[in-house]
Formats: sequence, structure tokens, C-alpha cells
Amino acid sequence: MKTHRPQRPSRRLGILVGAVSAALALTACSGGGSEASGDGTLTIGAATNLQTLDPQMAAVAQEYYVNPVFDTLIHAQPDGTFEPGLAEEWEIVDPVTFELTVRPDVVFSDGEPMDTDAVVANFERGMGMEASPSAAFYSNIAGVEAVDDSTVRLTLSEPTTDMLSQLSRLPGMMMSPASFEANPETTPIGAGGWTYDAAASNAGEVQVYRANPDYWDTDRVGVDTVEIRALEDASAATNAVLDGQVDVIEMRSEADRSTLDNGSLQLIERANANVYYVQIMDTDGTLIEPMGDERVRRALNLAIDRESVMKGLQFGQGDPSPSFWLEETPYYDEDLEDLAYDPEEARDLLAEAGYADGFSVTFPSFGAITEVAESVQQMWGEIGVEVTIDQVEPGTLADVMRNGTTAMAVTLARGFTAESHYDERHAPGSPYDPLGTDRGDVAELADIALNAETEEGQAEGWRDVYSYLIEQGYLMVVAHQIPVVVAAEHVSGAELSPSDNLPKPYDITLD
Amino acid sequence: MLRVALSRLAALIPLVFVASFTTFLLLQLTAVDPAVVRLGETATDEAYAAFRHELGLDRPVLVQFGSWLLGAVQGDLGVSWSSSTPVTELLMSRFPVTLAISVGALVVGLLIGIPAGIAAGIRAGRSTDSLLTGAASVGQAIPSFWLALLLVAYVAMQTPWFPATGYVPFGTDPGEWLRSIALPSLALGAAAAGAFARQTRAGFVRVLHEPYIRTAVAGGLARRRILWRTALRNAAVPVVTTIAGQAAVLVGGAVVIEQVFALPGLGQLVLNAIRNGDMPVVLGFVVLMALLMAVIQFLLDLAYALVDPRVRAS
Repeated sequence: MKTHRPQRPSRRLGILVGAVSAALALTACSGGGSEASGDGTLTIGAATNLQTLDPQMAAVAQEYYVNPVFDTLIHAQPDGTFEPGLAEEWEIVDPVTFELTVRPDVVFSDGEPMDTDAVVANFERGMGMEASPSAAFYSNIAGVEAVDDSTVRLTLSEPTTDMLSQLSRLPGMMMSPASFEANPETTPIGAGGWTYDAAASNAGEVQVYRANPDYWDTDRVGVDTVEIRALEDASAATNAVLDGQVDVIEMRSEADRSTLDNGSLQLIERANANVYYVQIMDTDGTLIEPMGDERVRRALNLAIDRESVMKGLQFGQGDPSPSFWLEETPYYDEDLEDLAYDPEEARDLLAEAGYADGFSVTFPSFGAITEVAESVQQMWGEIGVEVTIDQVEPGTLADVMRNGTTAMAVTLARGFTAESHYDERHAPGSPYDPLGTDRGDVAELADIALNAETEEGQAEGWRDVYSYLIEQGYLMVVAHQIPVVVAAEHVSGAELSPSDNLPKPYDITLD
Repeated sequence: MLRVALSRLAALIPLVFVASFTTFLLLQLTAVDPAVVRLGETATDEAYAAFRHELGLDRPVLVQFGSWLLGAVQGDLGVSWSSSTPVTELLMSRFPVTLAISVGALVVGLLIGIPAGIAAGIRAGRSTDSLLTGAASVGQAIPSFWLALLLVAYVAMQTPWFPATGYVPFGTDPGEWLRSIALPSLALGAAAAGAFARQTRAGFVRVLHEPYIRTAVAGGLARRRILWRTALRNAAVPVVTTIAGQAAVLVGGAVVIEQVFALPGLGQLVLNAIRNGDMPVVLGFVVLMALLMAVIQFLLDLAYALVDPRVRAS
């Protein structure tokens, strides 16, 4: 019988195995990819996928992808102060004139000099870009010129108190002018501590950067290689750092703290908080009549129980202050503590304004903001104000808030400065003033801050602006959330500057 | 077979057109503004408008689709609005990852499902059959993402054998590549194994009651030969159909599994593209999937011909 045993099935089995092997081998065609971290490789898990490596086209939230390649003119410190970077010195000549002294003998990674001509060329390129996320900054520059071999002068259209902060971020990142005509979105050339390794990088997975031997401050380059891995799923990011696959991640939710605070990981807090707050677009009752009454807005503010939000949503972390700015900042106003939770006074104020039976409002909401909006919904419900939460599509909340049909929304402010947040969110005529509503004296107060000639004067000015916004009920703080970065035990030197979501790789070493 | 291939190709053209146009229209319904996604919430209205103009979003809707279609028929699927990378390049860099875990899941499904189905079919009505059929039902019922989470929590995180996240290309390190796709393939393949087992069992039970099997037994053919040559081949036709169906399901299921294991595959790519309103990438994905389904269908035709002489003859 054995001689009659058919042979073809076994051949077919062989073909099947071969076909499967071939199909699996096809998968070998993928290019690039992550390798296990070894000595000298810092692996960072990022919450977003790379969009561009051109710093003048990068969104603020993607700054970490360009940090290794591009050094900035000025360096921001974790305590909010500034130190020299590619600019050795700076001077505020007058409120609209700013001068930078460029550090000598610095070269880009392509060997081109990082001199005054390069700095001027960078600003001119930015000023010529209409569709840049940093367009608001560039549009305020009226002119840029090299005054001498080491000095660059910026002439502004309007005074700003944000120049140092901006020059420590994306607009302060200097690109080699020789790279402008190439494709800086994929082949970035800067004067930073690392150069981009396109061959080892893989779109959507990992971006790889190698130490730049020509960096002007080599002491700050403590690792040979930096890898930034896209880990958009929060659970995957948590698992990756727990499993030792990445060295640093951003803690996405306070709910993860108990898992991550396991004794073998470091939790590094940023000095300045993110703020969940109710943004009032309809400041004069154009859409919802009661919102035009200052007593109503004050009542709504007094009805927010920040202690409960902190305990319930943030596991006791954060700060329950009604102030937008916390005590350690120069803009803090302790008088605002009078606006702490007081539902009785809130009800009295509503009654006094003629709304004892309350009224109805709608919050557009999305994602993590929804649970904060639901807290406000419940708290305002207790004083008779009915809140309907309208879920919007991902990525559309800003549009909805700016389209002129939305009276108010719970939102999150992060990585801001006093001036940038005011300009973007609260200034009359700003994108978040689609109704062109009456915002009282706030513009005059902002002018005082912007034209102050000393840092103390500017700080005092901005404190007055934010105190006014809160006292008027244009801005109602719900919670302060302290951003946290999780780092493996062997990571040293990781710090967060005020605008950082993830630490810059500079000064980080691996033990 | 050439005629079959040509007919499949001819059917592909209207399929791709209808699928891409429907997807395009559906994307028009979303309120996501790619300019806001790309430039962030801090950009100015002027910057948004300039970016929309750069993308051509200020043109009439049908002109936008026509422009994409014109490029697509020439092999140019456009450039991602989110990352400015050519769509073809993005799809080709992600496809191997999805293919790896989909084929891996198919292998897991076949290696577990076919033997289990044969064993249950041969012992139909006995306790082995009940046990295997029950296990197959459980395999099909467990959501793949839940199994994936369990595998991460109890296998990847508790042992050094498999990574919890990430993908290593075959070319970089074949061993690491296998480790990186093992758990995703298992999570994705469990349901396929259940489907194959049930289909194989049903086919075997049906075939074993056919008159030609009785004739073969009466003719004195060895049981092993009857089972492996006659019964298996006849029971295989519906299994082949199931394999083709499962292949499509696996590619879809890979979307979720890629999220759990942070694998840079097509699933993650298209999910982000939809979230970001990145139309060229979504449309490119649809075209690729239509092509893939046509290839699977063609391979199914080939497989039918391989296992069923009547198909070959026709």
C-alpha cells in the first residue's frame, strides 16, 4: 500500500509552506525601524506622529521632534528664566526693537556658518511663510537686519513681552540657509546637538538622531543616539516604559500615576501647570443674554468646586486655586482666592441678577475635556444652570469655539505664556472673539503690560490683565493639571522647561 | 486562468472608483479641518486659509476628487496632508507590518484550526469533538483586542520572551522580527483558528458521509489515505473560501491590534489619517485595500483550481 501513497499532497504542503514563508519574507521589505536601546541611546516615546522636521512649519505640540536637530537662539530654563543659546546676549532697545548678539564660530551640521547672515535669512524665511503655525510671531516682525558682524536687530510692529520665550522655541530654531531650497521637512539641517538620520528613521514609527560632533556645546550632548518613537496609544506608551522599551514618556493621565509610580521609574513634574478652564466667547450676552451680566458670570465662577475636581479627576494632584496663574509665578494675585467655591453666594448672585430659576448653556466637548465639562455640568446644575454637552469630532473643538455660534466651552491651556494666551484667547478681535464682544478694559490693561519697560512692570501688567479676566468672569479656572514626564531610573538630567511636553535631550545622560 | 485574472482586473476598475468616490464623499461630511490639525490650534486664521489654499481645499469638491483621480490613474496617490510624505511611500512602508501580522495570524489560524477541525470531524459526536468545537467557539467569541491586552499584561510584561510594543523589520533582525509579531499574530489569529476549525470539522463530517467514502472504505483503501487524500481534499473547498474571507477580516482586525502593540502598520496610518482629515492617505488606503481584496480573490480562484479538478476542467 505504501507504494500507492500519493506524493502530490506532500508537494502541495511544501508549496503551501513555501508560499507562507514567501509571504512572511515579503514583510521583510520594510525599511528602517527601531532597534533595542543600548548604551548611549535615549529612547523617547511621543504622543504624536511626526508631521514635519521643518521648525518653521512644525506645530507647537510637535516641538520635541525638532529639538535634537535645532538649537535655539535663547535657552529656556525649567524655572522660567532664560540663558544664552546661539545668541550670546540680547537687549531690549525699546518696546519694538530687540537686538541679539550671535555666538561666534558656530557652524551648522552641513559646515555652513551660523552667523548673522544665517539668522537674518531664517527670520526672512519665516516672515515669508503664510501657512506657518508660528505666523503670529513672524507677522509681528516689521524688519530684520544685521547691524554688524555679530548683531542682529529685530524691529517689531507691536511691542511684545514674549520675545525671549518665542526665541527659545520654534521661531528661535536656526536652520542652515543652504537647506531652505532642499526639503527641510525631511532633511533638516540645524546647529543642534544631534543630526537627523533619515536612513535609520521610519515614518510613523521612529525618528533617529545621531550626536553632532561639531555642536558648539558638546558637554550638553550626553547620549550618542536619540530615538523618538511614536506611541500614540496611551496604554502602549505606559507598557513600553514599564517594559523598558523606551526611557521617557509623557504621563497622559493622572489615572496612570499609580501604575507608573512603582519605585523603579522617575516621575518628573513641570513647574508650570496646564489649566482646564471655561472660556467665555459670549462675554456680553450676544448669544445667551444672562452671560452679559457680570453677576451671572461671577456666580458661575463661584459654583465651581475645584477641590472636588482635583480629588475626583486628578487623584488629589494639582492645585485648586481659582487663579489662572499659580503662586510661584509673577502673575499670581492672591485676591482671586476670594472666588473659591461658594454655592450659596452663587445662588444669591443669580437671584439678584434675575435668574433665580437658572438658564441653559451648551458646551461643545471632546475627549479628555469631556470629564472636566461633566464636572462643571454637575456643579452648575446645583445652582440651576442647565448644561448640555455636545460632543464634537476629534480635532474640531477649536473650530467650533471660533465659528461664532458657541457661547462658551471647557478647554485646556498648555505651554502658554501670559502674552501668547491672552493674544490667542482673550484679546478683543482675537480668533476666540468671533462675535466681536465687549471685553471691557482688558485691551487697555494689556497695552500697559506690553509697553512696560521693566520685567517687573510687565509681570505686574499681565497680573492685572489676568485678574481682570477672572474677576469679570471671562475666564473661569476649573483645574490646574501638573504635567508629568516618566523616566527610567537610569536617565539623569531630564527636565521640563515651561513649554515642554517632553524633556529636550540636551544634558540627559544614561547611567 | 488568464481570463480569470483579466476579469478580476476589469472588475477592479469600477470597484476602486466607487470605493474611493464614496470614501471621498464620506470625508466631506467630517468637520475635521486638516489645516487646524497640521498647524495646531495656535495658528492664525490667515495661516489656516493659506494652508487650505495650498492643499486645494478652496476648490469645488468634485474638482478636488477629479484632481486626485487624475493623479491616481497615473500612479500618483498624492502627498499626505499631515506629514507631506508621498502616500505611496507611506503605504509601502506600513504595508509590510500589516501583512506580517495578518499572514502571521493566518498561519496561527491554519496551524491551530485545521488540525483541530480534522480531529473534531473524525471524532464527531464524541467528547473530543465537543471540547474542540467549544474551544473553537471561544476562540471566535473572544474579541481580538481583549486577547491582545491579556497577552501584553500576562505574557509580554511578565516574561522576557516577547516585547510589549514595537516592530522590528525582518531585515534588521529576523529573530527580533518574529518576536515582535508573535503576540499580535496570536491575538489576531485566535478567531481565525476558531473559524477554520469549525469549517474544517463541518466539511469533514459532511464528506465522511458521502457515498464515495463508503465506497473507498468498502474497496479496502487505508483509512489514512481516505482521510488525507479523498476526504481532506473534498472538505477543503469551503475551508479555502473561509481562508479568503478571514484574510479580509484579519487585515481589518489588524487596525485594532496595531494600536495595542504600537505597531506602525496600515491600521495606525489610516486611523490617524481619518482623525486628521488626511484625505490622500485615506483614499490611498482604500485603493490599496481594493487591490489587496482583488489579489486575495484571484488567489482564491487559484486555490479552488488546485483543490477541485472540476474548476480546473472548467
